[in-house]
Amino acid sequence: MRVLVIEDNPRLSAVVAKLLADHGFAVDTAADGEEAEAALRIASYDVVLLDLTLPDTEGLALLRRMRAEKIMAPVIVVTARSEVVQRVQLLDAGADDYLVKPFSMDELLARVRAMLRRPAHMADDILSAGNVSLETKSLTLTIDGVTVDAPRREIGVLETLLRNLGRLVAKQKLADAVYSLDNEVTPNAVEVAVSRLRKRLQTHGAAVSITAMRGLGYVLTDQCPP
Amino acid sequence: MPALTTEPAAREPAAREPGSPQPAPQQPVRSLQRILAFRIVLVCLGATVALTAYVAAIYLMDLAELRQRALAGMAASVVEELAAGRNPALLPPFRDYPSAYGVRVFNRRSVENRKLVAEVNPHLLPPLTAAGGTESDYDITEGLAVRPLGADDGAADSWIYTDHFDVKGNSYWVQTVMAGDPARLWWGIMEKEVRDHVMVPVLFLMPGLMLAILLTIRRSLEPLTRISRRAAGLTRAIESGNTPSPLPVAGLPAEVRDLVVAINGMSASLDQLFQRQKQFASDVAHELRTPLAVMLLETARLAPSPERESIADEVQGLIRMVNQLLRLAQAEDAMLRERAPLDIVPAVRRVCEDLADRAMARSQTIEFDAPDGPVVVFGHPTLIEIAVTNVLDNAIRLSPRGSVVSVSIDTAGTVTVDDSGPGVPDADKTRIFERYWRGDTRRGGSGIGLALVSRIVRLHDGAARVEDRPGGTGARFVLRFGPPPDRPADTRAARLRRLRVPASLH
Repeated sequence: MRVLVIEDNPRLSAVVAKLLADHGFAVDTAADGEEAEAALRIASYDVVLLDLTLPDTEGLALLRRMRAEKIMAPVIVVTARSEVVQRVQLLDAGADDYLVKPFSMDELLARVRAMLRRPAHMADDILSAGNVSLETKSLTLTIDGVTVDAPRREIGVLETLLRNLGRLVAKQKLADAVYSLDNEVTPNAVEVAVSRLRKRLQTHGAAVSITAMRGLGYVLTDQCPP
Repeated sequence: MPALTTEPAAREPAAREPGSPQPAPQQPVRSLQRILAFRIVLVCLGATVALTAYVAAIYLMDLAELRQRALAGMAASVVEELAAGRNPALLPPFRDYPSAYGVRVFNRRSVENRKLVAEVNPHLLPPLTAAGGTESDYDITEGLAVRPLGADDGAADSWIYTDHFDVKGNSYWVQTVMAGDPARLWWGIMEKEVRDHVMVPVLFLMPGLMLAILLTIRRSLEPLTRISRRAAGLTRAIESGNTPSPLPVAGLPAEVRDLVVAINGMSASLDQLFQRQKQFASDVAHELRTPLAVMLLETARLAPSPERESIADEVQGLIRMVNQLLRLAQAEDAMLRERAPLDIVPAVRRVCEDLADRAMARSQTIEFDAPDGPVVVFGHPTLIEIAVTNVLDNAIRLSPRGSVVSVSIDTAGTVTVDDSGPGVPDADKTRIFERYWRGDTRRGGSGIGLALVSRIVRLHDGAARVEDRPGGTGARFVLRFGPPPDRPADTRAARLRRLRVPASLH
């Protein structure tokens, strides 16, 4: 797995590179926009970490150029600014995720791994966590190597949760996923779907768990329930 | 009486009580229009006086003219009296000063044929047919003339005047004489002149002149009043954190334009200073975040040891402090903006969603309870989010791993955060909101977070308090935000009044 770290601060760049290398990634670094574009033309990366403030260009501009040149590698934007407006702007510009400085090693690894689970370039279309995997085209759910049948509604919920592994998914987002599959949903359709999915995962011995945050949403983690 | 008692107090500022917040009462602020009008009226009055003096001086410089007009005037009134069938001897100068004024009326020009018609105080006059024949002839030939009487004997103050009148087809000759002027006839002449040629025209001119002056003043000062109204907007713009738009310079007179250019320059540099200051606080916080990220990641690569844990703790503390400072800077900025009615539910939900990752990292969950409908408070979303973030951040940090942090909103807009941390001892329950008070140092914290919470909540006409969590260990933080003002009273005027409230609070 190849990662490009675009960061102008040499110390941060070095420590991120070392950490990712420690965890088995092949890491390249670029200190400015020019180096980054050169690297992106030569190699194909699985994840790009992009700092927003570069000496020669705005990170956002670089991101737009990448997308314009059809470089579709997933991009995690690293920013020192945490304003909501800016995050929305980033996602609009084509960022796949963002990390607010300072971030911990766990956060960094979790985000990078989450990116790798994403079906980049639409070729890799298998989402997985623990012993659970979901093929997004055929909607085939496999738990511990065994194919499991599940209603479309539950598959929709699971897909959304898998795409946001380890992170809170707002109830509204899940509701949208369910609505898009089925237009006859009751107000508590999401709760019902999640509780059925949870039971189904449990019965088939899935090594993942769905945590509910009442009033907010759900989180799928690849740790077994305690 | 009240005027008498208040006046000395007003004149003696020392008599005021020392704690009085107002400075010594200033002179009442008078408008430039009134000052100008008052001064121009004064100048006009001065000009009138000067004109009067000038006219008087001109007459005084030509005493002969005055004298002639006095004698001619006397002659005219004698003729008038005679024509009306009254006795001219009863005219005041003749009656009151028999030794100073006299008159003679006769009917023929030639000395020989003269016949006396009337005579008053004849002892002052030369004999009817005698004195200085040729000279008299000359007088009469020439018509009106004034000459000194008895030029030889040095009585130079005695003058005679001869004039011709036609009354009802008859021709009369009138000689008037005056020795000195005890009745001050020439003074009366002067008065009349001044009245007729100065006072009357001035009185006629004055109202029109005043009106013209007032209109001119008002018209000339119009750009100034217009600009000063606009200038009030500058202050409001700077206070509310907006960039003030410069005052228009076009069409202003030179003096006002210089002033406006100066004001524009000042407000522009003030605004720059403001923006720089705001930028500085947030830049510093952002600049600190990169080295903190390096430290955080470097410590993660160290072999586990008590030292590593200690360093990691300190780095976490620093990160919290930087985040607090950044939020403080954001809050300072947001406080300048106006508050508005706002649904508090999505704002608090956003905070919970933002901090969910942090809770997950500690295997905690966040519960969020809110009424189904909107809960409207009067406030600023950024400030409310900052306040709730600070409280929730503490709750997550202080609660044990695997516990639940509950956030709830009631229908009045009160936000309650329950944690399972160590709780707050009774003695500290009020001090905890004071600035730089940090309580138990083991718990960390910069002493900024809760002070900011308290400030934000007070700005929202609310209050913050901490109590023991009911039915368990932990603390409950209650943030009450003021409700929006009552709907029925929500007239435009009331809304405008309210909008000014935040500006006056800081």
